[in-house]
Amino acid sequence: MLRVAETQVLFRVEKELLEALDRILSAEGFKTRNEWFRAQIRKALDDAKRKRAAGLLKRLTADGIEEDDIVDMVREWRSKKGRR
Amino acid sequence: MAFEEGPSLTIIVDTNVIVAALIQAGIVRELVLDHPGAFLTPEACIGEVWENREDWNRKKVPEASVKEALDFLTEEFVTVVPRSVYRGKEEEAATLIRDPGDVPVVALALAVDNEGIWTFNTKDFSGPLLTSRCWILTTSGVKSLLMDL
Repeated sequence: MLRVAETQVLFRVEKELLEALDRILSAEGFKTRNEWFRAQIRKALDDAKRKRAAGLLKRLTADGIEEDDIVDMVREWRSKKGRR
Repeated sequence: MAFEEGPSLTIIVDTNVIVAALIQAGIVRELVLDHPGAFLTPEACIGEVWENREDWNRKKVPEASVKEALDFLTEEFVTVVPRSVYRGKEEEAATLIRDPGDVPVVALALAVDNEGIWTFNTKDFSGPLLTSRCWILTTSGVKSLLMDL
């Protein structure tokens, strides 16, 4: 497995906040603060991507279309292509 | 739940699933957006979706916006697989499915490890030869698989 380059990040946080984090770490399935922090970054990035996609797709959203309508639509494209 | 390095499932998606993710609000779009990288589609399906954009673009959204949405969907959520990966399986796939338009999806399913083909057109994907080689998944089947992760 490829190992990606890593950068060390140093940041300040209130002592009480860090203690509260430490109390929930293992219950949340993380072995270390580092694991937790990485997971939160990934989640934040995924959330941002999902939000952007939802905005782009909202503009395209048409009402009243069911899965069967889409199957028929694709069948019609292929039928037209076959006739060309 | 411990943190995940990435999706552990691979599901092949048909043209109709891509169209649904683009124009239909609901479960299909949610499943795709909630599981980036879990889905693969052959480049032929994306070509078909783009070629027919005037038909599915019911809202008559400007072409630049259509392109932006399709590009973002395929860059971040659904991996587009080049034909070079599945070309070698096309001949075999053509013996398993009647519609030539479905051959790339079946060929891709034969070419890579996966949990199944997600399609709305389960009737055309129901032949015994095909189902002995590939799992065919409905939307509810995909939902169950992804919920079990």
